[in-house]
Amino acid sequence: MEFKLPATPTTPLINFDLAQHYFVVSGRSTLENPFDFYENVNGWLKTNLSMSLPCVTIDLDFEYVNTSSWKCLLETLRKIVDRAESRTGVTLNWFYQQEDDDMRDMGEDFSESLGIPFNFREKPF
Amino acid sequence: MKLWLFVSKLTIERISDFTFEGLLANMDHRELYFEMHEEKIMLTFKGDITGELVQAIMNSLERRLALVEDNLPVRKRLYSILLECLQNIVHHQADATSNACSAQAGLLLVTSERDGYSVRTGNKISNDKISALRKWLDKLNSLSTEQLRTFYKETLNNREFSEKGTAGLGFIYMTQKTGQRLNYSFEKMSGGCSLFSFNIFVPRKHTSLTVTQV
Repeated sequence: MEFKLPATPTTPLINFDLAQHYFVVSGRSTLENPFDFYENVNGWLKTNLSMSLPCVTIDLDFEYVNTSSWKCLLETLRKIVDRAESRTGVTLNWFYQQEDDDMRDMGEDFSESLGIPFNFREKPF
Repeated sequence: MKLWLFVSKLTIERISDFTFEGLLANMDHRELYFEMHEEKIMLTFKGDITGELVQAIMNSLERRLALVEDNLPVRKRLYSILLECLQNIVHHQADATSNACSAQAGLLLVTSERDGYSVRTGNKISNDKISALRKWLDKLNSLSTEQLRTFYKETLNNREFSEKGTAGLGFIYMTQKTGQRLNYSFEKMSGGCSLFSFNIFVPRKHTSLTVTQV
């Protein structure tokens, strides 16, 4: 089962593939009030992600994320991560552009919040 | 910043019929010319700041920045900070119980300076909101780098949202990322409102706080 939302100028691309245990969120999350957008995503996860997964791969690749989105995004990630049978079964790739320390910092904060080490993947300009 | 003072003064005195034409008519052209050149105005806006307009302003800044700023991290940081500033104004507008102090006649001025960019915003707020906002900004300004970092992490992880769905992280983010004080002032206007002027400087040099490795 899949859940896909295309990227817009203010909302990220969502691509969840339950069969592959593969979850992608990428692009911009800059809505002034992103609550409804993430409620929709979380609602889908709640309905469709009821089983626990032996392994989970999450790719996160953001250009911009406003502070209003941070907590929403963390909640969504928690919902996925909590379905993994163990934290060691979670592979989380955090992509960021070379020299974009702010985006890397954000990844480090998220990693700490979720209690999962991230793979930091630097992208060239 | 003479131009900013001039614009805010006009706003307070003549909020209903303020126009940039009026500003030009009231200001010595030569002086304005030098202001605009010396301060390198990147973006200026006066009017109602709505959610839809924020995106248009951000697109405009992004296009302009792509031409003048080579440093991608600086570009992205300025973009993020301006977005936080504007969304703060929009949130406030949604919060306004009466129309008297809504975000109408909001002001925005982004200038390029030698060592970075200056973002100035102005918007009307209800006098009864001043004390809480002042307390919040003063608190953030009083925290040391380390305290700010701790406070930011606590706020990020408390899993609480305000009634408006906001996370309360905007001003924390701005001061933390720039390493600068949040400069502000309130000036009384009519109808139980004040003009809230806010200024944050975004240095070109990277000043992000040291992050503890996870």
